[in-house]
Amino acid sequence: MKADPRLLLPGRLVAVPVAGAVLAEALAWGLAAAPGTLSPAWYAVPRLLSAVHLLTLGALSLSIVGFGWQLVPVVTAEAPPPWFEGLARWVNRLAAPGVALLCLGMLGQPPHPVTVLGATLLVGTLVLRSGGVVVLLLRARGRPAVRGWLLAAELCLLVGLGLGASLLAGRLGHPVLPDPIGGIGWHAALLLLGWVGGWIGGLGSVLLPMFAVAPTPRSGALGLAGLLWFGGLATGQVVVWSLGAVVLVASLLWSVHRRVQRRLSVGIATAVCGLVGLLALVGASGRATSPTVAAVALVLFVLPVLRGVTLRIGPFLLWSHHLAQDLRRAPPVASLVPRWPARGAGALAVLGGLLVVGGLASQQFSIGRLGAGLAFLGTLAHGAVLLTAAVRAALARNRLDALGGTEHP
Amino acid sequence: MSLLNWIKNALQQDVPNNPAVFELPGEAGQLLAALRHVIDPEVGSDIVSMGLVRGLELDGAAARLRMTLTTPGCPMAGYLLSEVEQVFAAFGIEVDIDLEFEPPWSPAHMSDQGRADVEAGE
Repeated sequence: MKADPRLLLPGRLVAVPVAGAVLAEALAWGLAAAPGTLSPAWYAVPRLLSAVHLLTLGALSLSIVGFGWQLVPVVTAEAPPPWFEGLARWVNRLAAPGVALLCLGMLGQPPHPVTVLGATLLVGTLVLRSGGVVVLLLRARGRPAVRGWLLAAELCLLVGLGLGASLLAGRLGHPVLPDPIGGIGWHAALLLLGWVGGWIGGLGSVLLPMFAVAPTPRSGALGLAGLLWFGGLATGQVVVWSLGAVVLVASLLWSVHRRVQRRLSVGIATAVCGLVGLLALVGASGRATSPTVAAVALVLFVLPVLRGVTLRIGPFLLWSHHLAQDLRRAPPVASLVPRWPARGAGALAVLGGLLVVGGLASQQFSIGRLGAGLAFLGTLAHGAVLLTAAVRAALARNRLDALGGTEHP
Repeated sequence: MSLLNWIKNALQQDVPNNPAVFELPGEAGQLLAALRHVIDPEVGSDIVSMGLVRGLELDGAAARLRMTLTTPGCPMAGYLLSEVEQVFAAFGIEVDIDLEFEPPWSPAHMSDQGRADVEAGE
């Protein structure tokens, strides 16, 4: 078997949506921190609805879209066909504007018609993207448990998007669902836990060992976790889903525990916080109100995991694109990331998240606003860290070019 | 077996005998030593100490190298293998690299030096 250099896709395919994700998250927290946004009747408050969707459709979806372009070939261990890059470029061009229009339109009461244009753009691009990803996953061999998680995640995406479109139609005066409130719950569960959670579960077993130099979780354990996770979601059985979550977290944390790298990088540590947040979600499910559970899922589980992944993989990809041609003289990947600002950004995000959840659970919305403000600052810091890594990579490349040639023993 | 140990065994991937090669006699040994200059940038250890090299056969000016990567589908693979080819080229040897992923690489395949390199690089 030979290595295929086409496994490294053009950097812009990842960078553009991930940049959009960071911007969307900052806007979301800024909106949430504004007076009057956080409310118990969250579905009825346009600003909160918009903020939630900036987090979900913006920060989460664009992160998965962006990293997915590079990580699907890693999972399949095959260079993607030429049409995959073309698909990526078109999805990237249209998905972020779709998110922007959708969330902008949601600020209206009722939603502005531009919401329909945004929804059409976004749903269309995500469905096309999903089709491309599914084709690659079905064609691949190996890693059956990982591919199973991702395929199930994509199915959740399609159903979740359909529910979302139906809910939007209802808000625009064309009700489709007999039970819109129930539909909201399914929509949120399928997208947050099914799609985003599915990608976290599927890729976690690949990325955590890769970047923490750790043993791979057992395929059987991952498969069992997947059956319980998606089976519980599909049937609405919280206990079954919770068992799947516990098996998943146990597998991943056990792998991290057995790592060779003693000190966890900031990215992996942030992602591990998110896995602990998943256990908090298991604890909250069935015991707290739906908005609180949704907040725990969003703010304590998926956002920290995706932020951690961004912090770990982003600089690695930057290094790969700028410096890998000169392995001998290139500085280490870790040198691209300013360590303390990255830790500060992570701490602000985690603390902010805890305050948001605490504020919602206790109906003390001033605490929630404080949390949103801290999370906003954390997101700005996170963006600054990624930008710094990009600048450092470019400067290091310039230095190597100035030195000229390539050293050999 | 206690319940806790049963759970640990259930979660942990089985690790067969280590297929990695860390020392070889003669000229092959010299080439293996030269491969210790090829560093995995993510891990901070060389590919030999990491247990990525699984076999090396020499036949005059040609060589066949069996090796693995920490994960199939690693986007860095092309660059890493290019480094390996350059090491052999410096000896005037044309190398045919065979990537194999069975058994999959595990940190258990690393040498003590490899583990020390990882910890030193933190």
